[in-house]
Amino acid sequence: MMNKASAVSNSNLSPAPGGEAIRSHFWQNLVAAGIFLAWNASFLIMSFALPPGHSRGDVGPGSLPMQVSIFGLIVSTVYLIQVLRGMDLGGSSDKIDVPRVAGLLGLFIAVALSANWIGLALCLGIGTGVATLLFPGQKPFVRALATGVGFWVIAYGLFGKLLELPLP
Amino acid sequence: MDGILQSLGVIFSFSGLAVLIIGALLGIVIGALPGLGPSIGLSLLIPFTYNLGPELSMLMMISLYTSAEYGGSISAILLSTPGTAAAAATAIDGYAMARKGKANEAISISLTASTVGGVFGGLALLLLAMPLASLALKFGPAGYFAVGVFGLTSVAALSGGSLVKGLVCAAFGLALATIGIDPIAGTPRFTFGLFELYEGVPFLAALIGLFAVSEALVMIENRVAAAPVIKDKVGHVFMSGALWKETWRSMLSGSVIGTLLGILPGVGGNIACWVARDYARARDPHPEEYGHGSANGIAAPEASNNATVGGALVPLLALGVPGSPTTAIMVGALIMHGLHPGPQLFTEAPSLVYAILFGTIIASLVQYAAGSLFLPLMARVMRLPDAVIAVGIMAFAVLGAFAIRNLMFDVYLMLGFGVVGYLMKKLRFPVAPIVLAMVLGYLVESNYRTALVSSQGDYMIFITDPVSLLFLVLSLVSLLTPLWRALQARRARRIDVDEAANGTVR
Repeated sequence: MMNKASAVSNSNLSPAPGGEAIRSHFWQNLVAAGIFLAWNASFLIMSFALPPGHSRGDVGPGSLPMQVSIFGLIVSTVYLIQVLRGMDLGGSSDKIDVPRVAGLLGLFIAVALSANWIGLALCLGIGTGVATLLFPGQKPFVRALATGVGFWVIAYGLFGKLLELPLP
Repeated sequence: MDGILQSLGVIFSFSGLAVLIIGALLGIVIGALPGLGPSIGLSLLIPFTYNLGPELSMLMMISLYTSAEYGGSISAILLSTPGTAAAAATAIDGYAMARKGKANEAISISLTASTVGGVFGGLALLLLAMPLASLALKFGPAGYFAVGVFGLTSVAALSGGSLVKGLVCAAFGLALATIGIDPIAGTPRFTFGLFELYEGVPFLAALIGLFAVSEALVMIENRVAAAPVIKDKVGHVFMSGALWKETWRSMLSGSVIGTLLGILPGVGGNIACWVARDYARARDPHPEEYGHGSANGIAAPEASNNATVGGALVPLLALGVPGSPTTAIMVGALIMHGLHPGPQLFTEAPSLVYAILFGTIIASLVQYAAGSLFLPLMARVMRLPDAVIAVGIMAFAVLGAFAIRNLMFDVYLMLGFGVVGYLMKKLRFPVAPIVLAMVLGYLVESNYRTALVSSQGDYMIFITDPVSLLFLVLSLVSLLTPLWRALQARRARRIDVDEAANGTVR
């Protein structure tokens, strides 16, 4: 997957000339590498705060987290170097469909948050019904109603009553 | 002997057969729906099997796992869209055969080959698991640590295109595994005062988020044009004698290949199906028929992907090491029932072990019966709109995450992992290494520290213990092989570029 960026002078730190997709992969991977470096660095710092082991020979509760975060820092650095050298490590070529993805996720966060107020089964019924409207298709309102009622019945009847799940 | 009788009693009880049939039907549906697979199916199912007890719970999961491997071939044949990655090779000849008006025949070959492969894998599991487990019982903590490390090296095989991304994910998973009370000293780590995290990050909530919720979020974006649907009426699925005669060799070779590759960590049905197809094609007197609707082109990959189920359960039962995301999920189920997989399970819960051993074989037979009887219905399920499937996944994910500990905290965490999984899928990060590392993290840490306590801090124990040394060397080989291959490929590419450049200059 090596592209020609590294072969071109002064281009080691810039995205490869290979179209919009590869350029967007560069930034996506750069951000991801940064996030993983930050995650591992903060994990390492927190590991130092853990107490040492008490038994003889025990390396203590902080030992493995420390080793894991050092390993994570090393592989994240290798990842960052590969990205900066212009290697296309893959990524999304399409833009995220924010309204739909955020809509579906937001709906189910709302379901979880409101479960304690009006009950999880009813929330799921309403949530699933409304969520189907985010998808294209014929007779959206009929589909929404059927899906909502269907999932309310499943949640309340099957899980709440039959499996005796103590739904909020 | 008591264990065997007890397990057979459970399997052939009303509840045993009921969970096997339900598991088979769910598995076929989940396998047939493109994008879903055994991992997603199991992660959504596990929380609801808690009340069933370990034996019935495992039977249901094995049945779902086995049938999902077959179910993937239905959409591969009718839609040219493999329901699971392991059915990708089947799509080539299956769809070609279906376009000739032989959809029914193609599905009958797929179902029969899947059953043969499943039974073969189950028999191999029955023969191999016990001797391996009695050997593994002699391992000390250093040996177990090395076995865990060996399991972790399967990350290399599960990484997909980029090894470094796989390793980054493995580090992330291992870090998550260290959250909670540590296994030796009992010190809370990275819990931020949240009592919900004292037992660690709830594995099943993470799993449901990473596999299922992320898939639902991907599904809402997809607007891919599919190949024309084959609208043949799908009826009986019994293979003719002539077809049996034509395909039995491919079924057998596929079963052997699938079982052997299934045992290897990180290698599953998605690789076995191609190897089995290539092998069958190389030995076929009519290789030119492959790609144009060859019966053997369906039989070999289908037998192999189902045989990997039995193979993959060998290291899980004998060593306690899952070699694939699906078996890692099964570890999660055993942990949920207060059991730790590994050789000690043979003495601690013999009826459970025998239920798994015999259940793998019986599940394949149940899959054949369920697949034959309900096939027309299954073919209709594939016409379910994406909207219903995606919101269904989300609804079951919420219910499943809540059912684990009856805590809404797990639902929020699951949704958080869903976002992480979605972003990782968008950026082509493999999520399987995270799951594997989360499962193996406990095994690795507890044995690493126990070994060091027993040797009073002497790290040489990992070299002087022969089992530990063997598995550490194997781990090194397993990790370095893909790196070596990548270097070889890069060198070959460079030579090609140089030669091309020289040719241009000349």
